[in-house]
Amino acid sequence: MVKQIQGVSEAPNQARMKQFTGTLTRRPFPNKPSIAEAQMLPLTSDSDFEVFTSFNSATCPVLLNVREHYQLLSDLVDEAQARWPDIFILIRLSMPGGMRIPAKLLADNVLLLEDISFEEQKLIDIAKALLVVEDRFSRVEIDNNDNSIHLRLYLGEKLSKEPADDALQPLIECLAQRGVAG
Amino acid sequence: MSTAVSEQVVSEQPGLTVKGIAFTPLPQPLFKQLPPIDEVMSLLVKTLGKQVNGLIEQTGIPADEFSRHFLCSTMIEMAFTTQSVKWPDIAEQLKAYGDHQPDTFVNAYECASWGYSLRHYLKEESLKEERFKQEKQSRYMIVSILDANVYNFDFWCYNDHWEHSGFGISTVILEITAPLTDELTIGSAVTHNSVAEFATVVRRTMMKKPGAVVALPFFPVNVQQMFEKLLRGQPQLPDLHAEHGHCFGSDPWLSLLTHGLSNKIEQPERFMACSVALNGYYAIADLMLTPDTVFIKNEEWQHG
Repeated sequence: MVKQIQGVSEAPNQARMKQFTGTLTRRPFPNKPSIAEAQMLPLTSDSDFEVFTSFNSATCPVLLNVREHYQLLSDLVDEAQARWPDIFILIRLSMPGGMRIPAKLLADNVLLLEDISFEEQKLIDIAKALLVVEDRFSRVEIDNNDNSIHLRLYLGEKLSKEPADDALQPLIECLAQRGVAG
Repeated sequence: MSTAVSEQVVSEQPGLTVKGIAFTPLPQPLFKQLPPIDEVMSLLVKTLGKQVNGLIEQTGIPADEFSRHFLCSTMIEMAFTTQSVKWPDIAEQLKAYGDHQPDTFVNAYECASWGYSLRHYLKEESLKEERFKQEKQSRYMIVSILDANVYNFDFWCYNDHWEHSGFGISTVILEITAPLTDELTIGSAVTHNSVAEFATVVRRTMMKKPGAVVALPFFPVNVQQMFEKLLRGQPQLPDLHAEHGHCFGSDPWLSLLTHGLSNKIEQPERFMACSVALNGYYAIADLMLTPDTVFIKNEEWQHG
């Protein structure tokens, strides 16, 4: 392994982490028509149906589809990219999409992955700024999600110009406009 | 003068070398009677862990030299989406086979996930270099690709998009031999005809890579014909769809593996490993196979 030199002041660390937890409480884009394009895995054999019905159903309401989910994440990324140009963004996002992921989420300082925990720990000491977006918005009944969203923002000292509690505010506002309550 | 010429030739070669490729084919169906999903995943973890260690051993690279190892997939998601299994548990099981086993799971980019993971690795290394004035980059990284029909869904066996599927576990060890410039082409189609668009990107990329032979994803004959027409006779490895089916992100690596096992590599050979996803994400890596590259094709996995 190549050794890292620790303790560079520009690097964000755990102590400078700001976090937010919210819940999606309504449809994020209530005045916009939404295309009914969600694709479920086609089921054909008896075994397909048997397996599918064995999955648990979420108890929370499904308030968005895949397109709206991507749009919400894309808007959030847009806000973060504009505010902190050197930021790195980790988003918990997994197949299946059923549609193409928007270009803004495919940028080279964004990684979409199944579980962010390991990557987050690696990037805290490397990135000048790091945003972690971990949502459990329910898109289909079987995903067992709870419509929660967690944001964690790590900023190096040089970037922490805002009063401590304000750094996340633009992102919280972006989410609030889309139906996420803290 | 001759020295200058030879330096020029060297500098034109990609700074990415394949140190080893291993592949274990998985049968369809995986089991006569499906065990619980956590058992299925544990069995696959065991096979992956052993395959990785076997490949590393044959390359002779010390196990602590590996900077990162990503696990990618196209079609293993339902188990995670339904939260029937959780990645930290899988990663913990993999750790029993060593710290160089995968710690991150990426499937959002489908068949191109390996390329997006590699892009992330390079970005991470450049951030380290920039911030810590690190003298050199870590040289080795690993990508494993696991595609297994863990719920035995019919859709994954055969569908109109790519007809027959093939399942398996790939492990690829890559070495960064020189600072990378344009070795990696990562992108996403903007049209709905993503495979044709991808083919034109491949052709355009090949123009800048003299002598490279392209390793394409495996598709049915109609798509193969389209590739032939759009690539206009650029050299390419045989499409193995008839033999293996579409093996998702593993295709280009299985293609290189098959080439390496059936031809003695006597001097470095240049290839372009290419993958495209159903939703249009693509990855193209310009890389070398060398006489030292290790090729391992394991017997088809049998449970028990």
